[in-house]
Amino acid sequence: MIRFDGVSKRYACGHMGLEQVSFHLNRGEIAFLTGPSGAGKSTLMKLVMLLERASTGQIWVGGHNLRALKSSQIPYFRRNIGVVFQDHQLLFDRTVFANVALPLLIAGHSPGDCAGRVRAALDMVGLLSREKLFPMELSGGEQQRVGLARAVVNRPALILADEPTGNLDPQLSGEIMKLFESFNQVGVTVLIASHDLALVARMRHRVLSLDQGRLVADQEVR
Amino acid sequence: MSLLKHKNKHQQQGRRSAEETTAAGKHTGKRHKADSAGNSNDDPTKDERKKGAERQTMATLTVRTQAALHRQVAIDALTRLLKAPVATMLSSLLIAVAFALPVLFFVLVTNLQALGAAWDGQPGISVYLESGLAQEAVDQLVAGYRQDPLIKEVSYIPPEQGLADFQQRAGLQDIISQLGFNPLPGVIELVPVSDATVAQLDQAVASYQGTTGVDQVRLDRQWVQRLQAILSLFERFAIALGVIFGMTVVLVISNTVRLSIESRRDEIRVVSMVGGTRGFIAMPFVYMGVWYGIMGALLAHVMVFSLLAMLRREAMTIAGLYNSDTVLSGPGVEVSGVLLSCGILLGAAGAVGSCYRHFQTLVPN
Repeated sequence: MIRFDGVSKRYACGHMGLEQVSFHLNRGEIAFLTGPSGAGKSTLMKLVMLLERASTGQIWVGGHNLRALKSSQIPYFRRNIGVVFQDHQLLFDRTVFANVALPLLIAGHSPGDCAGRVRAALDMVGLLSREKLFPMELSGGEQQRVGLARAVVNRPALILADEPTGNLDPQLSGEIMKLFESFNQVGVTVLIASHDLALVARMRHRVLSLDQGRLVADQEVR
Repeated sequence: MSLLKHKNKHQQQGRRSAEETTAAGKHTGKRHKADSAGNSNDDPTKDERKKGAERQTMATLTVRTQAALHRQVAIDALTRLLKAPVATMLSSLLIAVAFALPVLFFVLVTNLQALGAAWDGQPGISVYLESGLAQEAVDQLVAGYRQDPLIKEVSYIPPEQGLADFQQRAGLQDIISQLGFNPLPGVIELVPVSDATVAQLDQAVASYQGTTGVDQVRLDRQWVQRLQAILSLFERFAIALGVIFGMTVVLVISNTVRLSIESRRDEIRVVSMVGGTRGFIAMPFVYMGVWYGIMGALLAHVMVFSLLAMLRREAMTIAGLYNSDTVLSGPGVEVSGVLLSCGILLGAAGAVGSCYRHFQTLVPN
């Protein structure tokens, strides 16, 4: 699903975001990406969803060589990646329902067609009763679950999560992680960036460790 | 498997399921009928037709989806503008002023043109005779003009009388007396009948010109022509003014949209990250520009009409002086239509320009 082959990312200011990173994440796999702040976790995520382009090396995502993907194709490519952010990135002027419906509207579904799928996604994260509320009226954990519902509503083949539990207490973090596992069980590939080593260790999945832009460890399921 | 293909499959599935729900009743009904008549579905032409119908349903569905999306985005854009009424009003007023100025100018010109056209003073014809023409020849010409059905009145002004008239005008006596002779020719003044058309008069002038003893024939409508020349100059000026102020409108809207883009950076980022194309991201801003254009055009109408209402009394006085009962008329339906379309087009143009410039930095890739 994701394949990095000698990938480096040098920013315009000269800072090395990633250096010679190679790994392969299979379809249907779930993995964690760990490392201290500034290790390159976010850079790697950005490269996968083409928010940035690699300086050297090759990246394949879902069979696409990202180097060969034209700018005009990027939006269509991104529609198959569900993204979850640490700060949720919800739109605060819209209801929970409208937030979750956004990827469907973008993909060209009619508002009528959306409703069922939006409710299914909200049901999955246990927020069906909150659809008419605004994100500000929800707790941090609930906001993150709305972000999760938005990421899966379009039934993406791949979910990327950048520090999805960064602002949550251990119990809520555990619940969110369980949700990721449940998506993975229906065949979705999941890559989660997290610096919460205790939580990562508890989950018992593959762990990719980055440090100063280099992949220093790739531990399979213990 | 390719991600892009994957996406297409998903979308098609989504569309097909929607299509099935809308068209299911029809299809099953048809199938039942066909079966009961003993016709199986293996008729190839029927299959083709069904496929065509399916394709059509899908196309109309996409169009409907798009229409629904556009409607929603348009309404959202308007509600967003109305939520900040003061800011919206100020920007719209600026646009309205830019629209109102050229329209007012245009209205002024068209009204003056109407005044010139409605002027019912008769143009006179002056026939300048060759100097030293015998009195008999003059009488003959006068008699000839009297018989012309186009001519109502004929009067002959001999050179001596012309000189006397001329000398009455202050400051000219000396020049004439210094000249030592009478330079003025005899003139026959003709007043045409009131229903003579300009074309008929032109023709008459041309035919008089050829007769012997006639030096020159003048139709006295030059002041009208001059007025019209000036007015057409003004008209062009109004159009040039319109172009300049049109550019102002584009710039105003483009700047207003830029501020809106800045304030909605986060939203743009989110939409772009979940796969929104630039067109999708630009849509609310383009509608915003269009709304500004429409509101500006409508406010410009209000301005123009209230200004004309204020000027109406003065205009009546002027019209009275010119023996015309023309009342100051406002911009016609055509002008309003042009103004509104300009508002929509310029609004969209300003917004698209602004989006194009700012998405380069805001929308990743």
